Amino acid sequence: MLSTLLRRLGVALPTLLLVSMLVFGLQKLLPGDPAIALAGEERDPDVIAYLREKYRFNDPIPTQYIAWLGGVIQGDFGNSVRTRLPIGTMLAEKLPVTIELAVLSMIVAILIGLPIGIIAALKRGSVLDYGSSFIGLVGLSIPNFWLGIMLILLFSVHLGWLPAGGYVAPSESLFGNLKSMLMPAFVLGTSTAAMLMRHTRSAMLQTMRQDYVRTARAKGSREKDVVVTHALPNALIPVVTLGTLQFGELLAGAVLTEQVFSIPGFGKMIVDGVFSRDYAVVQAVVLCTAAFFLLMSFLADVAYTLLNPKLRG
Amino acid sequence: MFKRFATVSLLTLMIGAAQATTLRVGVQEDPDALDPALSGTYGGRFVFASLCDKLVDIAPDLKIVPQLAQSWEWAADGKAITFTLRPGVKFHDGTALDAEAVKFNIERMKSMPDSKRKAELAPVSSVEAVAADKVRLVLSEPFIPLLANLSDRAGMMVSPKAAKEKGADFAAAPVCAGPYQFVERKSRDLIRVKKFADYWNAGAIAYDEVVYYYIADSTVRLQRVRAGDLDLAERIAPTDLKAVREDKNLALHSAEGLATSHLMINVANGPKADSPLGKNAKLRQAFELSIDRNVINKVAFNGEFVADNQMVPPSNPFYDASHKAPARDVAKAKALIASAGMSRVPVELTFGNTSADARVAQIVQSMSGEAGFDVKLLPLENASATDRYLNGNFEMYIGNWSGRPDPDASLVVFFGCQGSQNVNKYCNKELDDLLTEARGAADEAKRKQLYAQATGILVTDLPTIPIYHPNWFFAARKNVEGIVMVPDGLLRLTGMKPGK
Repeated sequence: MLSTLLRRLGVALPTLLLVSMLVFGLQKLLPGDPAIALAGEERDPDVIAYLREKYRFNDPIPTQYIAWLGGVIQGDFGNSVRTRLPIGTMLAEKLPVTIELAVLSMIVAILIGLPIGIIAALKRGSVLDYGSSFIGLVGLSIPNFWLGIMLILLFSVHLGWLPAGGYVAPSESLFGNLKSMLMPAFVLGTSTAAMLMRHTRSAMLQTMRQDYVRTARAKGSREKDVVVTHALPNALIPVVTLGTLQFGELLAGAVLTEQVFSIPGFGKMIVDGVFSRDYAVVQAVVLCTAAFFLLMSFLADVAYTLLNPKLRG
Repeated sequence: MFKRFATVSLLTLMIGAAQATTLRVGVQEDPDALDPALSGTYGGRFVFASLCDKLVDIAPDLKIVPQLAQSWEWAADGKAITFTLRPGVKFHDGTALDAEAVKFNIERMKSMPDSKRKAELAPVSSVEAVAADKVRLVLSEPFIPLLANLSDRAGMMVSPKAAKEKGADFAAAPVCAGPYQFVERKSRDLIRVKKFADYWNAGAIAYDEVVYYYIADSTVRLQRVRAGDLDLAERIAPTDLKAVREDKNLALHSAEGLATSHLMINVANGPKADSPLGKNAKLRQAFELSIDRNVINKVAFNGEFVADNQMVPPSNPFYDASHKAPARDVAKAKALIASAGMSRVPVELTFGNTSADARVAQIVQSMSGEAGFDVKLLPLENASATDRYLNGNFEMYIGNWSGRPDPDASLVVFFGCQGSQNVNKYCNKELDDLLTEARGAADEAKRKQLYAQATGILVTDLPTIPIYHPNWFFAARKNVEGIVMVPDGLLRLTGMKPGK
């Protein structure tokens, strides 16, 4: 197990480095001079020239990259060029918010997707099965943005049950936090739920056809035991892998949801960063997201190994 | 018994009085650096309205009114202005605002390498602290618009002590002399300010705390006001106004704005100026005649904005009413195109891909097409579009200028031969002289006449075709009282109070 961990780490670090290089290089290809974007409406040529100099926009890209990397290794992500606020603090503020959103929406996705997927597989070809396919299709095709606005209209404007947006930190009020995250987590969770449901269904169907399931049935096991103790753990293997990777995706997919519910997370941070050409901010967010994604795929591997004894040792 | 009753009543009263009142405001834009010298966004100015008082302010009719300065006096030759400061004004760190502090501020804004106020203060050659409450700004040339410039960020005073101590970190926690002092900022989320007890006009400040929440989407902002999460939201989109008007819990506050959306035409900057429209003023006139500004306003903005043909809006005292926008005349446009020896005229229209500009571009394309213009639309992501615009890499461009109270700052910038945003390299000596003369004319009637002459040149030469001026719309809960709308679209907290 330890050697696997070390091996993964050996792959993860170069991957991160590569990602950071790619993103750094690609950003520089973006049209639009960051100094101009920063100079504001006044666009004073002297200020533009000064900003180019101060933030090393004139230096060759590798020089800029090395300077940036040097800071990051020492834990210094620099300051946002736009707001002058330290990026490290921004990350520390935003990351927990987005992770919380991702965790909650994953819970929503599992609560909805898993049971429906299993039932659909067990009742294959029934009305329930078709119904669940339909729900899945709807879940996948409804845009998060639209669903978000509709929920706000219903639960905030008309019923007044939930806040229409904004974020309450758990340290401020745990109940307030849950209330503020309920709709965003639901919106973000539904599309993942649909995906999870489809995969659970097909994995379950495949497993139910396996020899050991037939054997279990032949031994006279009750159908409930066959499903819960024999089929389910095996069916869950691909689902868990997908789920963990999907969790990484949630982090990135939160962009629109955070926009609708004005949640100050990574999504908002990166969108604003790109539009204002605040390169250092975008860099930091991408790097964190990549690190997170690598962590999740590592956890997926671990979960895989734990669930499938054949892979152990 | 009575005593107990009285105690309870008194306690209840005290609790009632002690209950902090918070104003929650939804803003469209996350402010940039919170230092008046560095700020370059409307979002920043919106927040500064609570944090940083200015030497002077503008009234709803755009007249200059006192704020930190009680009065001012121009030198006879227009080359110096002396301010008498309001007594007893304190910065949020308790230091006094005096003539030395003003001197420090103006010099700071002129000397900081990345200060964005240099152009606005360029004519100020030196600052003299004449007495503790008197400060004189000496100018290199007569420059009447200076007062209007000082009604914005250039006139905001920061604490010299804090500015020296904090240096580059000042923008993270600004210290000014406004009604509210900075508490915290969560980047891309919220900015919290609290009432400053020693504010010179503290009696007119009712809310104990103001929180600005950054919510980019207009519809989302409005929903949050409707849900009661916010007390007020700025910049409500024209398409959302119906919902505000129909909601009995809300009040709509509006003002004519200073901003202008215009079709800038590249007439002399690089190869892109080599277009039929760039070379021929007659074709530009034909283009103007081919579009109907009222229809654009109606279709794109539900008729809620002001269709107009000048950079300076009708709400401005210097607006020239004698040069009204011409009515649409397709036949005349066609005739003008024919007289230029053409039948179809190709035009490339570049714009930042926002929904408002995209709508305008499509309507312009369709209308001008009927007269003989083949408009090719080139929508680009905003930063890329701005880049092209500043480099003269466009034939026609939808520019959005936020406008200024004084016409000088809107006309010289774009049409002065040396203007900082003269990106189409339009240069007309006669116009340049008129604008320079208007800068130094202390007499308002004289200035008005000069700007009318300048407008006459602009609407004939058409280096740009102004289309409309957006209006400001705030949606507020009914219980927010005392909102006064000013054309600069900023929320002034003075006089605002929570109602029942």
